[in-house]
Amino acid sequence: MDKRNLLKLMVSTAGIATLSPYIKNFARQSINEESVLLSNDLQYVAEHWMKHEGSFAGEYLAKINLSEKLNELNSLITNDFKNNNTYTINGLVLSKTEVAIMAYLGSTT
Amino acid sequence: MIIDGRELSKNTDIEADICIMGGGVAGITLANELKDSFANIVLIEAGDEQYSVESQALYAANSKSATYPDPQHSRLRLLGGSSNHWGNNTSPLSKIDFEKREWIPNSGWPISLEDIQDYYTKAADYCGTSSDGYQTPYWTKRFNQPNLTRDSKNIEIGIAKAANPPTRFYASYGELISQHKNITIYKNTNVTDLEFDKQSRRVTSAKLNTYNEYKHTITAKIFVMCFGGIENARMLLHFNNQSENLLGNQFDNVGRYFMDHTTVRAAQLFTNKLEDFPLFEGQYLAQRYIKSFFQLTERCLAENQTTNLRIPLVKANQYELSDGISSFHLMKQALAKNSLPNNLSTHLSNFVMDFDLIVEALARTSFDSRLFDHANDFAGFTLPMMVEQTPHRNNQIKLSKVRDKLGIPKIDIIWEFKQEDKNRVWKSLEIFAREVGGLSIGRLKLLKEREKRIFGDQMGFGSHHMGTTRMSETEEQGVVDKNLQVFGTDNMYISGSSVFATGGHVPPTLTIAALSIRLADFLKKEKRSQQNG
Repeated sequence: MDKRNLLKLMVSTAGIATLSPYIKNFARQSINEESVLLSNDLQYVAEHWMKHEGSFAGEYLAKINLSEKLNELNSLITNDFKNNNTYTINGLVLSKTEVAIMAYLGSTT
Repeated sequence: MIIDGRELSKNTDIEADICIMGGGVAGITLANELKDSFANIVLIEAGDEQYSVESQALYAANSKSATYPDPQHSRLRLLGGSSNHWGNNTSPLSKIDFEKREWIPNSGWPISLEDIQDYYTKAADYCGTSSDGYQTPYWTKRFNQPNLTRDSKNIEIGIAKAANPPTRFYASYGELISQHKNITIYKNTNVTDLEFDKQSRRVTSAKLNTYNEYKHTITAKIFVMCFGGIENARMLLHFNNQSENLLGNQFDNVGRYFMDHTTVRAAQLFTNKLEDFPLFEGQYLAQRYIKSFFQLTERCLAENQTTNLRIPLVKANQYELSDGISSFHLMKQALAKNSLPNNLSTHLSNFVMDFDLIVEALARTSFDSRLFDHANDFAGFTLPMMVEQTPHRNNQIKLSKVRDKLGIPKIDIIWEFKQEDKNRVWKSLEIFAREVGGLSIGRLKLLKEREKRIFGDQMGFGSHHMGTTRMSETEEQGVVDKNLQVFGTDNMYISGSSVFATGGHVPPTLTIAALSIRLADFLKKEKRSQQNG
């Protein structure tokens, strides 16, 4: 999956658009400026993911076949919340799918 | 008629059918409800019609827990009582609030919501919020608010209503009751003791002090304590000192189970759906202010064995929600102690990301000037949520050995917001976070890392003093029965938030008024029953 396109999609979806400025601004900056700070922040999410899941976020996204379901991203995210499939990062309670995408964007592989 | 107690001639004896002690919300509502049924009602009020330093000083405590607000300032000792400074925020208690909940120690009232439901309508009229109810579907439709929680089994929208301007009970009803032929108000008149006859189980008279050397008494057939949530306990403990604890205190319950509503900002909501929240911002309607809040459903509370939260939304800007400013303070405090805070990398990251807002904060505090316009941009919502507190037996009002100028012992307040209550707040917020995500309302940020400050120096209080003369099935468990009659007595009653067995998560005044109306109905029925033989 092309990371830049995925990031643009994330920013435009209802789910990610409701995120705090903390991540939303990073995402916007990244699209426009390739911000180093964005990279650092998403790297943190990627490290968090790896620590808890023990595998790369890309593997999880492949497992849920995200590339085929990009137009269902909103429902994937809301279903995560309904099924208690959540991650808490710096206090923000996020869906596993959106965290996986952020971790994927922040990963170096 | 209204009489200034200070102008009574020496050693006056007053007679009454009913003596109402205390002229706040409970006492004024009760007097007004009884005025056409009893020929001689006396309302005794320690304060005046206006604030006076001399009266207010008598609310000073001897000691209090460090985090608890000073009771000399959180309540008012004059006609109208604390309604003279309340925000007039009203909502009814929920059905589950009255039930015994296994996961909330000491919960359960001896009455149900059904027993009080009808009185809420009239109570709302007293509070100036009108009788059109608190039903969410009606109000969301009335203001074209989308039903944000329609698809949720776990959260729902609650409604709060306030009169605008706020209803001050004496300003609103003082003339009505003081000009009624059956009511006499004695102001600047303090009740200092009661005479209790053990044989008949009846309170026979009360001693009065009018800020001078004169001593007066009142004899009455019925006595009702409406002193207030703290003062009901204080005075009943004081009365019991010479009544061998026969006034509802055979089991050492008076003053215990003291509760308040804490207000904590333990989470933030981020959303881009501002257009969906008109009712959450509050709407004016014919001298009323209607505002909605989130709460957990009764089903959710039972299934998850947790406690309810009243979660209003308050718009906040970038400056107010800045993590960087919070991290800056935490790092500064830690460095002052030659240490480093936990999660240092996160705090450093916050510091870098919010550097502009930290500079803004320094400019505001040091130079009283503002630098960046974007600091005022909307960022999200802060949630000053009202929390139900468990009625813990050891949270209590006690009498100290220090006496006030009238000779009545001052109080010691022992109050703590215990860890089990904090844990339930986080549990409820985690549920709320999943729901707002699942409903695409937004994302919730839990501020757990700030727990020490949130439940410490940043904790707010409703100053809703509750539970100290609690209502219960038996004397072993409480102080008054389901009709508000003090256990062990035949003619003594208590009204006010001190009788609440649990406090719910909404302000208490509507329920205080409803209970007073219910008590009035009970006393009227008793009178009719006695007259009929």
